Amino acid sequence: MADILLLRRTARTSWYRWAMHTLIFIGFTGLLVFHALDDIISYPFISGYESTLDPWQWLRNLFGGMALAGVCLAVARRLGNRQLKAISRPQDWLLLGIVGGIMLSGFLLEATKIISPNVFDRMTESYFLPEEETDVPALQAYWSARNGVIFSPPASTDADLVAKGEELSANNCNYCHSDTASAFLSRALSTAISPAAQTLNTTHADEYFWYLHIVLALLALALMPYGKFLHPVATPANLAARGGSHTATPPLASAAARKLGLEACTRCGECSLHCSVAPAHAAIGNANILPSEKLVSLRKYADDGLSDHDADAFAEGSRICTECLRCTEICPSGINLQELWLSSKESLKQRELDGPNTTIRQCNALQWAEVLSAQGKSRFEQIKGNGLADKAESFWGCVQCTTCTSVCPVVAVSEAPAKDLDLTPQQIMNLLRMGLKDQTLAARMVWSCTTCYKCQEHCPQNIQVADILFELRQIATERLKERKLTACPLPAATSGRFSDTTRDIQGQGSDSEGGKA
Amino acid sequence: MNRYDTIYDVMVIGAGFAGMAATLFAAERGLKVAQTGATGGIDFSTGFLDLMAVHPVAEGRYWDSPWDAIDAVIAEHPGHPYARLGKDRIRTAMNDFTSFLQSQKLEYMGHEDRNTPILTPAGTVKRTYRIPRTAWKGTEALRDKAPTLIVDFNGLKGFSGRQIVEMQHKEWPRLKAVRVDFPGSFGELYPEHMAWTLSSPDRCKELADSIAEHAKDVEYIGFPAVLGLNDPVRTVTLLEELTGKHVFEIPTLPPSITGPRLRATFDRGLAPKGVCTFSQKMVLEARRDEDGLFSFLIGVPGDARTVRAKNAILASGRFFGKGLRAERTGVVEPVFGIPVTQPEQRADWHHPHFFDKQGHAINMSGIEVNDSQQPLDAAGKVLHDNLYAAGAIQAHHDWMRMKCGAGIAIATAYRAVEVITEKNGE
Amino acid sequence: MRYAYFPGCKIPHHLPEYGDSVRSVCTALGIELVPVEFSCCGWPIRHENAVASTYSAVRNFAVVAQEGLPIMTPCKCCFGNLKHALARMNQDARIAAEVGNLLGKEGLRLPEKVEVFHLLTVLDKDVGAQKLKEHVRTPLSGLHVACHYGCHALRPGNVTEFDDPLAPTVFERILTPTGAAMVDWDLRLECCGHPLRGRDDTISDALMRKKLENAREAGAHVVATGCTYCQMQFEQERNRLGESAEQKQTPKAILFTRLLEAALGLKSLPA
Repeated sequence: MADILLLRRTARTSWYRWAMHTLIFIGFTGLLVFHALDDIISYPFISGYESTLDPWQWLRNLFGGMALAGVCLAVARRLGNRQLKAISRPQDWLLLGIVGGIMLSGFLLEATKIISPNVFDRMTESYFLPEEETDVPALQAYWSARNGVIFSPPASTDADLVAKGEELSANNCNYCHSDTASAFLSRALSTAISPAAQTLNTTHADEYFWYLHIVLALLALALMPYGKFLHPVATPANLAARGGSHTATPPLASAAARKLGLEACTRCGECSLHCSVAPAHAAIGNANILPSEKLVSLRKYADDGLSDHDADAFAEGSRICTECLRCTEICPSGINLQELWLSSKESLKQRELDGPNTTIRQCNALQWAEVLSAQGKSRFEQIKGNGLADKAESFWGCVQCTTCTSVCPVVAVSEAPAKDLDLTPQQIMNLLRMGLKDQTLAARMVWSCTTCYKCQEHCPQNIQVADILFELRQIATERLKERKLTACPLPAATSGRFSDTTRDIQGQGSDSEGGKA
Repeated sequence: MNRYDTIYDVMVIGAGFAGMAATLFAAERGLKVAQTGATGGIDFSTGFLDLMAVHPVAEGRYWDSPWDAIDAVIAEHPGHPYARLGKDRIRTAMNDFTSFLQSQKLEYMGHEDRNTPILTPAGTVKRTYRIPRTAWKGTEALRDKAPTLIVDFNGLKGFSGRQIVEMQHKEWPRLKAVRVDFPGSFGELYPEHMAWTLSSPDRCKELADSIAEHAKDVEYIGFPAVLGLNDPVRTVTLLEELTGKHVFEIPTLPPSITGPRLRATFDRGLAPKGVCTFSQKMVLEARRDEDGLFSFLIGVPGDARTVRAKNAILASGRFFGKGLRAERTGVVEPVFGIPVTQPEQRADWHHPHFFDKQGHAINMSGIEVNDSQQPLDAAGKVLHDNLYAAGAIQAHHDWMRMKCGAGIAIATAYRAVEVITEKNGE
Repeated sequence: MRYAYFPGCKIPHHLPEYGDSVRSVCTALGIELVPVEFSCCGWPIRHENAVASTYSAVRNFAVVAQEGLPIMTPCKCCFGNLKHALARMNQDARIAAEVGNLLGKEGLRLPEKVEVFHLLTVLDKDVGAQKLKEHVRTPLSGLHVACHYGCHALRPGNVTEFDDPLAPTVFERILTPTGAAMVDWDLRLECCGHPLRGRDDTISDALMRKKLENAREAGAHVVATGCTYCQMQFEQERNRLGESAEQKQTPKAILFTRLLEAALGLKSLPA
């Protein structure tokens, strides 16, 4: 309960966010209960309730002020943090805009009503029976002097008249009206807009603000089931369902629990601000690396609503996630993100969408050599220039002594290296020094290198064998990504990997220009 | 304590035979030693320790007594490294070296005063001074021409039992060969992986079973040297029990397992002696400071650090070890810029016929040192009084053809350390 | 002895036991661990993107520079990649420039001096075998331990400078004071297979089995690990796979900090 009502989880991570959200939460809830739902709650349950009577009028200003202040803090937060600003989506701004708009239009409505002689006239016509001729001017004088109504021409400021108006007001108006001064914010606003009072009054601005206020409120209601607008319902429900757990345990029992988690996101962005792999996002630029953004994709993914391109981006984000639990621990809404990631990763794996390592194994090294060399180097390779694998110097010392292969544990556990691995490390070095890089990019040895660095440690010529294998994987990944290859475009060869056709390559090599197809 | 902030008594540049020997001898004398270099030529060793076996090279004449061979080679090549050492010192150096190996459970055998003939993987016979215990029974089989089976494996390159039998069949008629599958493998095989596999008793049993039929009528069984990695004697003993025959190893083509076994022995044994190894780091630059100490920049360009030492032993080998660099206009010594004795012109480096028995002039090139193993400049003066050079980098020998590589490496390293210790004592 | 504590990504969810035991051992030995919000070390993404990997690592150096503390991590892969990234920054001008650019956007820069240690090294240099021995309350006599070194701390030795890459001794130096017997085994420097988990499970399994088998033959009762990934491989992945009766005979893996905890009398060993 403390998590839900006092926003304890939010306070854990940031007092700023806690203050901001508490202001909106209390303000909005207060208004919702006493003001928006006054027909259902306030009138039946509170005897003598009138929205224009204190303390309700005062409270309405207080709540409205709190909510508006909260919204302002929220906007400042999103604009002030570069990273957060970058991940803020239209719906984040929409929600803030609507909530802020409701508050602002409410204040403007109240303020324009305060200064409006039309409203005054309507009220006096409905509720005031003048007994003397000076009754109405007296009331006008009093309301103008005391409650800020701006008449045109201006009401009299005669003290006697005001005194009379006060008495009349006390007898006729005060049952339903406290002084407008208690609507402290609206009254202040009304003073601020008083120079434009004339125009506002003649154009009946208060009516427009009323429509705006109501339309925005109805819009908010209409948007409730969608995205972030649902969070006031989904988040407490999720917190309650999770029973205060900060970890990924207990795991989510059902699809419904997962769905609830997905809906509970308030898009506060805290997870992304603290994400372990946020630097990878900075380097690569795929928003799906950040949890708050990946969650948006996951929602679509769950509904099969991702385009192929978006699915790749989602898969990359999922792959890069290190499952460090930080987003789950930090989430103010208590969403079990960890479990969502683990289960979505599993699903991606089932569908063979889990990345280049899977893709590259879908057909053999020779087929990939053909595909990956078809468009030459990737843009990335061209920009960065020659890497270790391209430089002749990298292999100058190589005498093909086979030490790298001889110490390789992967070759050691392979029953038949030529069949299992396509090429041995020393053969890869040999192809590279002949300039046949593309032929090595998809070799099983490159992708099943366990990165133990024994080859490099033992090389008598100090060749960076393992670093080169890393680089080959990076190059292949870049090319796959750039060419949007998430599956081998050629029909998978049922048998025969690289090794069975090595002779063919070498044959072609001597026939064509250096074999560098 | 940071290993870069330490001032070492000796910096050994090189991790081949000479580098390992220098490091060992210096550490045993209580010196604080640092060692740099890529995994060196020791990995490519057959495991045999040659002292001196062939002279003159052109005749390919093998000597029974290495000591007589040393006398003979010095007589003809007065610049030969052995000429500056004295036989007693060479003997002590070899003994110290093998004692260390024995203490690390890598036992060596041989005769006090003569070389022992032994089979090479090519099926020829060479003579060498010290032989690993696991290969020793091969010398007995060869001596007695005993009924012997050579086993080789499908998928192991560079080792053919049939070739050995072909080469030897006239002198050794009861030598035969068999090729079997290696336990648990098909496809190509690599010695280190095989050695791992055979450190498992179960696999040894499989192997013994697979050759039992062929080994019925022999006394000895020779295997390529893949019988266990760190404790080959245990594997050999086990196979002897399983087969009931004498078992021996024949080194395979490099990189075989015999070299890595030697290197692993040093890796294991040197660290407890306080040696600081800068593995795979190369010396980019050496400078003698005003205080007489050496500063070495080690690492790769852009990412190198300085290590300081009071003395340095240059044991960087020849061309493969990068101790000598063949440039277009001549051979240079890249670390200290020590002048290299070499043929005048590049055209004279090699004999017109690659396989000419005399060998090539370039192989006799190298740097000049004095009796204290200190490198000399062009004028014949000592370059730095705290710089020494050991091993194959010295001029006037052709270790490969003379079969004197390990001996030169070990004995010159021994002498260099001896001089450093003497100076320290002063 | 204060260190910025770099637990790495896997400990909180996948191996909380390691985090707990690291803390309790460090507390007992007077090593203060300062929590810092680090990002990923960059190891997992090194397979596909060198810049992202290096930047992930280097950003941590920039963050910790504000604390002015050396980094201590109990994970060998984190340790290895942090060291690797440092080397890349010195050796690869292009990556250094790109990473520098990314740092600049956050108003950060690579500090002059960066110190990264693995917990084993910290125990070795700050506590030492002698003092460890004085802390031992319940010696682990009779326990035969095979130390599993873990690749990424060890190699490439000229980058990680963790210990002699061909003949390391630090693991045994730290565990000998517990009273346990150290087993000499052929495959102690080999890979656990975890880097291929999910990439090539067949080879990953084979590497793991081979090691465990070798440890058993060498007479080990347990295999000691000092790396999050290695332990995950030998414990969770192994359990997940299911084992034959014979495979169950091979030694279980245990985090070296758990062994220390037991020896220091902080927490008993699992049965």
